[in-house]
Amino acid sequence: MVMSNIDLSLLPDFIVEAEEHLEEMEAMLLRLVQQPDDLEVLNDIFRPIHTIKGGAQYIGLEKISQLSHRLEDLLDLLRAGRMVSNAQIVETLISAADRIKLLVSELEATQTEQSDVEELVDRLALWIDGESDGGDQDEGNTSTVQRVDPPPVSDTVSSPYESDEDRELYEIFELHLTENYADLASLLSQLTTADGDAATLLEKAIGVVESMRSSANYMDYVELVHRYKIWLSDLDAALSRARAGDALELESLVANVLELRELFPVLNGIDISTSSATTIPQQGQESTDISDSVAQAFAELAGMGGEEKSSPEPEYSPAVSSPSDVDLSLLPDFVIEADEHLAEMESMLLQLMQQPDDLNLLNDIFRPIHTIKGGAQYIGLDKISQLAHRLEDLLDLLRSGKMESSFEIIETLISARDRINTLNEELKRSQHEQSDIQDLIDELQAILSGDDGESSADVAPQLDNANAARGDVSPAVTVSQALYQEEDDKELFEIFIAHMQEQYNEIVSQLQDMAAGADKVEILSQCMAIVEKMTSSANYMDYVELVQRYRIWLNEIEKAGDELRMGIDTSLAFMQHNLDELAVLFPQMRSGQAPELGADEVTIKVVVNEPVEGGLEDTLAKMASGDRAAAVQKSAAFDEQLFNSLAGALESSMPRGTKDEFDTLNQIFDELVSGDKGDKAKAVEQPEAIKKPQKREKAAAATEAKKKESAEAKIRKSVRVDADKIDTLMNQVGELVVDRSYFYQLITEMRNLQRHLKDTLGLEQKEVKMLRTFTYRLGEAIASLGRTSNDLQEGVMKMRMLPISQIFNRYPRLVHDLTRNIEKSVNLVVKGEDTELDRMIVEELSDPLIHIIRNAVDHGLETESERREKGKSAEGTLVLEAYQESNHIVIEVTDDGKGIDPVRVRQKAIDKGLFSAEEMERFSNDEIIGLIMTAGFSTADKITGTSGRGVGMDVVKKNIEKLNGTLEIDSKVGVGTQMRLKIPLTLAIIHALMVRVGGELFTIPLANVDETVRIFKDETSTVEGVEVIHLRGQTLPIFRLSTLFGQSSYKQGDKSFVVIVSVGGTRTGFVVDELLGQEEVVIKPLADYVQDKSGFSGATIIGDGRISLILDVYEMVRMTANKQAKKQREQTQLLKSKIRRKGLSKPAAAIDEGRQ
Amino acid sequence: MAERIGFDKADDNEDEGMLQLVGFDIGDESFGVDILIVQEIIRSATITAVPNSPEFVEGVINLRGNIIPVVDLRKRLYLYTEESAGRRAWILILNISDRVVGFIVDQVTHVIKVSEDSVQPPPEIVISGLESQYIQGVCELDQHLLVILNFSRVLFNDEYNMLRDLENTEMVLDETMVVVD
Repeated sequence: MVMSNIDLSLLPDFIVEAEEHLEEMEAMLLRLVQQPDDLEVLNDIFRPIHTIKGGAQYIGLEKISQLSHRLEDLLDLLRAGRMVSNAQIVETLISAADRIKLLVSELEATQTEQSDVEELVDRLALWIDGESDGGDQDEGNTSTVQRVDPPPVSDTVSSPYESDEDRELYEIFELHLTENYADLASLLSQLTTADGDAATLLEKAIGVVESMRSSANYMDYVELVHRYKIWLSDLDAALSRARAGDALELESLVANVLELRELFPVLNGIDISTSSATTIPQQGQESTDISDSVAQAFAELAGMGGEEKSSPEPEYSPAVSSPSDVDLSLLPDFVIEADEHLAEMESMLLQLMQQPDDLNLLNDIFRPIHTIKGGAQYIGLDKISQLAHRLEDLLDLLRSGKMESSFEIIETLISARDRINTLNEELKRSQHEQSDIQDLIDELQAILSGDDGESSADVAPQLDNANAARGDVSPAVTVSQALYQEEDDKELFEIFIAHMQEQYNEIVSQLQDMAAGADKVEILSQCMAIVEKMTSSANYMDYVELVQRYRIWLNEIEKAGDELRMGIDTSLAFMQHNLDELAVLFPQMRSGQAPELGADEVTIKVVVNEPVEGGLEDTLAKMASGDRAAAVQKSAAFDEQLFNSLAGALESSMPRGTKDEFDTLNQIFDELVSGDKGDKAKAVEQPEAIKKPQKREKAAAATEAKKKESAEAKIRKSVRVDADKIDTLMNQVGELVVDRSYFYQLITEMRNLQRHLKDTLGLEQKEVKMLRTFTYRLGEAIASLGRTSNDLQEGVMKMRMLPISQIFNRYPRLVHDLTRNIEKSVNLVVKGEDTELDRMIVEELSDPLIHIIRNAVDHGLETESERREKGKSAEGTLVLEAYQESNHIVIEVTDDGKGIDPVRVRQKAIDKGLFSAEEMERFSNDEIIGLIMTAGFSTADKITGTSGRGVGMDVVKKNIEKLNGTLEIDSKVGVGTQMRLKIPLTLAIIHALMVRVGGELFTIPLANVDETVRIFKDETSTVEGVEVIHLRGQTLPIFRLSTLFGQSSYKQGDKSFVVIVSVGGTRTGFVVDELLGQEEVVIKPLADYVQDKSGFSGATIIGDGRISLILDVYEMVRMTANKQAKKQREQTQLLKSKIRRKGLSKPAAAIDEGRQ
Repeated sequence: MAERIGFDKADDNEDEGMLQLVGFDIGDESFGVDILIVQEIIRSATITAVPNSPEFVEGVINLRGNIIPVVDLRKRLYLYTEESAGRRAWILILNISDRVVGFIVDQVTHVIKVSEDSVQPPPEIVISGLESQYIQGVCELDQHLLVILNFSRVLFNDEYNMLRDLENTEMVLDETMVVVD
């Protein structure tokens, strides 16, 4: 049972998508904490988890699918309002999402699911059970037994099953189950009585269980499928034993059957012993056995969903594939994915032309079409899913070798693919499937039925034609069988027929009741419900034509019902007609009782039924022809007011007989049904109960329209590109930038040359002019190159940009976790999450921001009670904001907490011995606050669970500076703190100062440079072995880069340049030989072993191809300081030992002082 | 500006069980490196020194827009053989598990084909001060011992890492002392 068959080829895509979905979910879950009853949020959570589940199942990831399935169940209960979410449930949801995340990351690392999900599944099950079985706890014996089972299937599983959206589907499923169960029971009883060959019986049993498994699979009942699998392996074992002639152990098999019965109480009606006689159950005989249980099932379902069913569903409009139920939010994703799959398919189909029998290829083609089908069905794209389904059928036949692919078949496959492509294109443009697919469906159908061998493809006319030629149904007879039996799944078909027969008989009996004088309206609505059921089961079977036929029938019934209600006598002959037609299509129906209509049925007939579209005109015509008075009278009980105004309107407008009347009518109708512009006829004629859903429809349509607009804006083409490729491209663009500066250098040289030629060689004006023209043109060309490369550079840089929401989205969770166990409530406000910056920077920013937010929550914001005392709102506010400021991105983290107290910082600094009290006197408040960014500094008096260990702000500062960014702190005691991060847009290209030290060029990022000064030798002095300069009253240490780099400086003259850099609030000077100016340079990384501890952060290639190393100013200052400290220590040590030897005590004090 | 020796990779499969090596000398010793990891061989590149980098790192070069570190193989392997004076060095550009590194050698000789069977494990005795951990194998060639180097060891060996770690701890130590002071 080990599920090692994970489809690895799809795994990477799944991982990427799942990560996105999980992120989305996380955000939603946190919103749920705030708004536990927000249905929309629940729906939004449901969607990604559903997608994850689908993907996981498809790929074969058992744990994820199991867990997500459970999550879905729970969410379903919440959505349906059958359960009220509370903090614990949300916590469970969050931890389940986390577990899925963990599993996904495991998949990424090892391609296997490792973490255990049992405990969470159980926890979720507990919630679900707690809701759904409530009183079932007393059934101790059954539930305990089942809980021990490895897959925790309890009898409660059936309730989440039933709660699934599609009741009709469930009904079919249950019918199938009942039937198969009966089969199994009979097989088993034959086994027990040793009636027939055990092996064949077991084989049959395996077949039955397999079909059950596939139907359970179809219903997405993971545990049930799992159970069936175990069952199958039991059966397999039994089979092999039977083959070997060993005695059978039937107990386990019987136990399985019994277990199933416990799960689905519906099956209780079937007794194992009673159905022993039948070998292969025939429909007729079977039906008696099953009927009880079916009736029971219906009763059960009626009990549960009675309300829903009594009101007609508002969606049986004949419009084929009305786009109204298309899930627009998912459309963009679908369209993009479908594009990829279709492209994939195309190439493979063309390959298939060459190798028509390549099984692998067929499998490869099958996969994308299956995915497309799944997506289309989920979103509600009728046409695509229909077409894809048919394609799948055909491919299945080809795969299984039941059909040989021919040129024509492949052609059809290709044109079907093209049609899906067309539909997809239409979706992109208009969110509608427009193209007709009937021709292709027919074509595919013809091929499919041709395979059956019973009827040839050419006699398969479309059912539509049969529909048109309504009276003449005879040609459809042969077709129908071809059409409706060819499907691979015979079991399903049998169920379908059984189901249909049931419904058919029901209608017949209803009609008989009617003939016996029962209320016609009542009976019609009953019939309507039945036909609706039939429609959905035909839909389930994918019988498109049949569905259409049913829909027409439904319209007819509805119309007739409406007319009857209005008191207009109408013919019900169409019922008989439709039944006849159905009986012709499905000869099986004949086995039921032949329907008979009473004679008086015909006498009711006054007007023939007419198409819906003509409804209004007809009604009006009737009224005009004298029926009006009668109509008004009869409707008085119905809706007097409505008809009075209608009559009034008619009176005033009829004589004119122009088109105006319709307008007037419209207007009145609008008034009456409060703005409902739906079907005019229906609006008047439908009772209150039906009007409501229409209004809802309208509202839905309005929101749909809105959604459509946004979706229209959203669908844009995107390409997924390997990040490495973009980096490579970026590197090349960097090269181009370097080349460009080389060209600039060349043109300067050229101008110099021109001057040189003119001045020193004394060339004539004419000769110089040629040169000048050339130089000019060269300059122009280079300028143009410069522009283009600038654009290119910008474009590529934009490609690397990611919205900062990538990391911002993580913080709500962080805040949630931070505040969970403490008495603080924080409202995190996120602004400007769309701000884009370089991919690398986004990642690098994540950790520093975590530190800052932690600090803000932990130290900055006060507890609720503290806040109340201070007169602030109990809930603290933390604002996370990002925006662009010229070439920089600014990120501000602002809290309204207690702020940083300079007095405490000052005291701390003195306590820690960082500075003396006198030194501190000279510090400004800002400088004092800046001290918190010093290593090892923490103002927290105690270490809490989250922060206060003295590492924090210094790390943040360091990381920000590594990004060539800056960090500013602005804080007011009692008001709050603002951390302001300023980061360059990109890491790849920086503005830098080029300097020369000895023979080498070095690059210093401008972000770190405060200023540059020129100094003369006599301006420096030495303090404790460190060279310092005095600049505007401040003493700065200076370091000679030539010494640091172990070079001998060229110029030992008395003039040199100092680049003043600022790191962590302290200023330091670097002495260089020459300043060469500012430049934009492309950073290239150095190998780690070269770069580590070298004081360089990378290198760049300058115009002439030489390499210039980029100074890591932070690292360089630190290294230098360390060296200095070491040197001083050594000196001190030396001095101390000298002193000790001399035994003097007095100079020791001096030394201590000197070290300060 | 750079001379390159091209290798025709098409005849790789010609004889199976054969190892194709690029032979090179440092001092009097002959070495070989699997031809498959040799990206190119250049001469005369401007090497930019990187201050504060490990001693064996000679610097970095600009190889068509990519900055490649260059390691002095003699220093890296602690080979105390005399430098052949007055000769221009060769730089072997190797691709070692996707890291491109240049190695300075005295001279690149020729492409050598040896059968895999003739390659023996490194001997216990140390060859001219060369530690056996860097040696993939040796083989006899014209009464001459050819040492096949294991370059991934040469590039990332533990000793080197240990050295770095030591430096790191020293740094941390310094830091704490500053604070304590």
